[in-house]
Amino acid sequence: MRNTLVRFFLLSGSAILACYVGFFALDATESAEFVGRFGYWQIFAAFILFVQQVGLLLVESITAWGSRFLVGHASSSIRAFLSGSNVQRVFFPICFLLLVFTTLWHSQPKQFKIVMDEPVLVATSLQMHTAREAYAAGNIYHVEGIPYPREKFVDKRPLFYPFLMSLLHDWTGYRANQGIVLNGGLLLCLLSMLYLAGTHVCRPYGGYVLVALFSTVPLVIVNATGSGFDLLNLLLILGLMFILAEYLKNPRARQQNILVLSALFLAQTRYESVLFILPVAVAIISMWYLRKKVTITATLILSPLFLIVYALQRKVMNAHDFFWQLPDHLSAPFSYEYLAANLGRAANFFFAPGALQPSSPLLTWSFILSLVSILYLILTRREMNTVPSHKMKAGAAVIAIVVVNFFILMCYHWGQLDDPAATRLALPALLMQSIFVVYVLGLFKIKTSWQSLICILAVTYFMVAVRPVLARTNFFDDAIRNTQSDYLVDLATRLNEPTALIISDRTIPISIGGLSSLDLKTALREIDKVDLHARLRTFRPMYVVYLMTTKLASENLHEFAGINAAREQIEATFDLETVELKKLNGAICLRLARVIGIKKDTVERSDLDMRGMSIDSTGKMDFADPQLLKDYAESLP
Amino acid sequence: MMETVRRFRSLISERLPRTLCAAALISLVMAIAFGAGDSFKIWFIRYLGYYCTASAFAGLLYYAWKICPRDRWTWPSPTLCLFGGLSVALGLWINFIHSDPGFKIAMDEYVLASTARSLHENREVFTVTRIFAEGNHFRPSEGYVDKRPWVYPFLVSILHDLRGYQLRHSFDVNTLLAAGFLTLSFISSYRMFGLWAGALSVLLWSTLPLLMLSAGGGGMELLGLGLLALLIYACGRYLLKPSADGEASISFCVLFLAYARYELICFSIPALIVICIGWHQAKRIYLSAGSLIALSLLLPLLFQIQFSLASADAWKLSGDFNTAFALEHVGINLGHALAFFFSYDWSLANSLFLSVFGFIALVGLPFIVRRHWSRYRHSGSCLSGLIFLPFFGLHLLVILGFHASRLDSPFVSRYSLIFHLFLVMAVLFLVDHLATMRKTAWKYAVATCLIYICAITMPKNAVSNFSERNFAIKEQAWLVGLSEHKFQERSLVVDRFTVPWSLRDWVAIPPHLALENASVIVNEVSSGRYPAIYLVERLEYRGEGEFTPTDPVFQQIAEAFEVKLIDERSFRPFTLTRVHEIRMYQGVAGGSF
Repeated sequence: MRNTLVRFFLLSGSAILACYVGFFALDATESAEFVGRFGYWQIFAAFILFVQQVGLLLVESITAWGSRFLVGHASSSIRAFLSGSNVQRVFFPICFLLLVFTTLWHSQPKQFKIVMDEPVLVATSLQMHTAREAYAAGNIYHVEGIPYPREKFVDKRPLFYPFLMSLLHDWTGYRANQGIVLNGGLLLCLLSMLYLAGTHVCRPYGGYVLVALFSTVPLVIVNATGSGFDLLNLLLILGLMFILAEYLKNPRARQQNILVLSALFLAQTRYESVLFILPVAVAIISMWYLRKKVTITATLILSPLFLIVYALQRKVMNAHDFFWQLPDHLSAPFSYEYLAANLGRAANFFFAPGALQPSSPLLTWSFILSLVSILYLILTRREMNTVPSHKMKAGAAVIAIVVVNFFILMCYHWGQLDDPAATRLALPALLMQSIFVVYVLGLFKIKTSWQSLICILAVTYFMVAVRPVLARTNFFDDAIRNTQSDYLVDLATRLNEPTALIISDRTIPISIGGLSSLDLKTALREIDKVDLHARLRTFRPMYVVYLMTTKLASENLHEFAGINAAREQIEATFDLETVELKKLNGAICLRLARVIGIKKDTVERSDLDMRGMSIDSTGKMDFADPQLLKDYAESLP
Repeated sequence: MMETVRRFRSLISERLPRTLCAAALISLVMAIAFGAGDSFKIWFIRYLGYYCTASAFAGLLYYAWKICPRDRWTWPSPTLCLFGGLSVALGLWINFIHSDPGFKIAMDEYVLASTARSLHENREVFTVTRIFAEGNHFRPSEGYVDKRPWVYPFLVSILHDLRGYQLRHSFDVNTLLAAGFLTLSFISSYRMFGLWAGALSVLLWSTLPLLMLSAGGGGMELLGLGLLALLIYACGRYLLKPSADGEASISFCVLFLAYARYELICFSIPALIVICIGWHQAKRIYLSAGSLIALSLLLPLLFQIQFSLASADAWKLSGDFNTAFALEHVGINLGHALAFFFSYDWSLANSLFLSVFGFIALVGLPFIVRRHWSRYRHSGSCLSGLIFLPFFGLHLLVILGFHASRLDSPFVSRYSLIFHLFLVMAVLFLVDHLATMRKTAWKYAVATCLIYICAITMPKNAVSNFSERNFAIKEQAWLVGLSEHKFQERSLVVDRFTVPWSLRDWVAIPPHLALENASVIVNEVSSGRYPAIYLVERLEYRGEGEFTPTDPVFQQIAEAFEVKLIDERSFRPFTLTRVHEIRMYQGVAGGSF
């Protein structure tokens, strides 16, 4: 009892400390620094705890399974395992899942889907990988082969997804498209968990139905072939459902730890997913109450501290208006005024036919049918008098939060689901719709053959209506910024010029591709410094990448005034030689040009005071004044 | 005491002919080593060095084969295989996932690669600085016998013999050595303290970026480390069951180790102690034929050491130092060594984890050994490790006595690799001591080590600041790309560093030679022998937007010839490397081409 009391005080202390540091102690600038320096380590600590807890749980189950498996003769155990029922239970689903995964995986191009979100996430993961910092670098100079990140900033996006990417960088080597690799793995996990969830709510073929039904939503694979964190959010929501059910069934300390840590990870995956802490807290407190036993573990005591970074990131976000991307005519990011319009646009999304939106009308109509059916079941009072199972309670709690989140989204100024950049926000709702449909199917206890038929129907719908659409469009055809970002990453990766510098209005894709980059505006503003380093050959060759209008666009020139003004300024400053032109759409193309020289009249020549530096014949430098290197660093544009 | 002396005397009298033979051999070797003239020594090393090393290698393999328990060989348990396999695979994965195989230290590694090629093609210990084209073949025309030991090039040459000449074999040998070393490290530690100790030792090594650096480069540090680990292992086996073959295997190990790196010769003392302990245990002196052969093979080693010490130039003595080795250097270098071991700067390839726990273990080691002596003295591996431990101090002293051993310089820190073996062993003894108090100590140590690797070693290895900073390697990589894509084939190259060009079958001469023989070169080009001449020029920034050549000879060449710039790059602030094509000779009338 005394021990519990001490632990309770410790928990209260850590909660108060977390609140103080998270909300009161630091201003926005200090918060950004705190997140940048300690954000990685906080998630790292939580992740190590999670791995430890899951590892111990696995060791326990494997030991139990192994001793069961090895009772008697090993070969007979293997033979028993390979018996008919297991083949049907294990191998068929694996083959089905692999088939679905392969079909989905090859149905969309692997590229950035949401810029700049996705390149910034990769940039954050790069800093985590190389410096264990939670910053994203605006640009990176490579001098002497060493990367020097510049213009580091703390991004508004939560840190768990870049953390997972950095883990992959650590253990498999750095890749600019690591997000796509990670999302591929996550998709496979998501499909497997969906299968399990489906089997739980509707036996025996609910798993197949759920996977097939969810696969008819093109939005899923559109996100899985990008570098965004929405798929991870989805997986963690589904995972939380499982873990919550397991905890309600078996409320031991280890399960509680895993539950708490999963909720923390979910909170650090998407902004609004922090709400999932609520059902977890309610579940834990109610289990304490029911069992008349308070379990306060070390993980629980530490858990409030793990949320400090989340609070500080929100503080940084609130301090800078541009993070909210609020249009000029709107005053608040959240308001009830947006609700009606957003619901209308959500309907546009959910019912849109064909290639207009990455939604699935089949799922939408099935969901409506399920709602009607459950209403019918409630009215006829069938099935509603049983005590809800742990799985049901867990499912209901998670679905409730998803519904709340959906309504928050509808009150958000950018909650317009038919906007290609915002459609991904509908993913949790789509997941819950699918699960709900299969759950209602399970309530009717229909025959196995009918279940097979529904599965075949979903698969047929996918093959007839969805797969051709996926082959025809990527739903972002007009997004020149996406193509530009992909082009820049590809350029930086394939150039094979370690000392090259690319000047562009988008520097982050070049940095994550591994080359030195410089913002176009900075280059034009600080052209003297660019000229100095051109003379010092710090970067060679130098390229400029900029947008140009085609002849087609010149007819209505006023629409492209910004592009043309920038082009004129660039061409007035640099002597350029075209290396390649890439057409982005009918009106705009991208020019990659090598800098031959800088026009003399634009430059005021500056120089460095060499302070008697010399290099001997073996190449050894003798810096008479160490200030010289500092001057050199400061002279970089 | 008297009893021991009497017994020793009786043992000697039993093996009098062999003892006399050994004494005579030593005297003969010494006499030849100190009596021979310099030119003879160089001749001997150049033409017979390969065969001596090959004999030592054959002896090592033969006795390793002989001491293998072939007749009563049983497969290790599946648990051991699985655990060992997984640990070594994990260690290799950590060490190679961010590794970029390639030369890491210019020019040392190019010289070793050049010697390896000579050993492969001519069986000569020779570094080629210049080749000439004869028909379709390239033959060495100029070179020198290098001061560096040639065991590493010898192993590379074996790979050349097996698979044909390829430059990458220099790195492949180190990859194989890393795999072999980690396996040996697991086995030795397993024999000392069990399964978890094996896993811990592999992970402790994996915390060290220096190992990754050596495993992905073309240097010989890993070879010394691997051979030393092998020697300690062989000594452990010998102490468990002394035998004549065991003694011979130790002798060849010591010989090969000394061949591999001179300073490692200080580990011959503990090896001798182990051999004597074995004699004492077996109550007889073996002095096997193998040991006597190994003794006679010391001769080229002595030649090489004398030759190296004699040529002060070879030690790269800079102005402030008069002697290459001196005790007074130790004081200065010790500070640098401590700065390296305890650095938290990511530009150094140290492992803070290994240093902190290793030095804590070092302090506690006397007490630990006293406490558990009764257990350790019966374990051959532990005893062998304990006998060797003090000599790592001696080795460090020798290293720090070298004037250039500033370990906190990225290019020198590789010398500390051997001392890390001491740190790893010390940590193992410490954890073993803790495990007697708390059984889970090994598991906690492994978990902590893994967390350290995830948190610190991974980003250090990924960024590799300690190797990426090497501008000379970057410059060479650029020159390779340029010569492959922009040079006319079989042209003449004028460059200060000719060894890397010769390695890739380009005829290269230094600039001063080009200037002296300008008219000859003009004739060679006009006769069509070389389609073009390329000049590699190095410059430094003097301010005012001007780069000036580091050597006045470039200025003279620019005056004598008309040159056309092909490309230029700066691999370090204020320096520039330019590649020109030499177009027209302006030095003599009518000498154009």
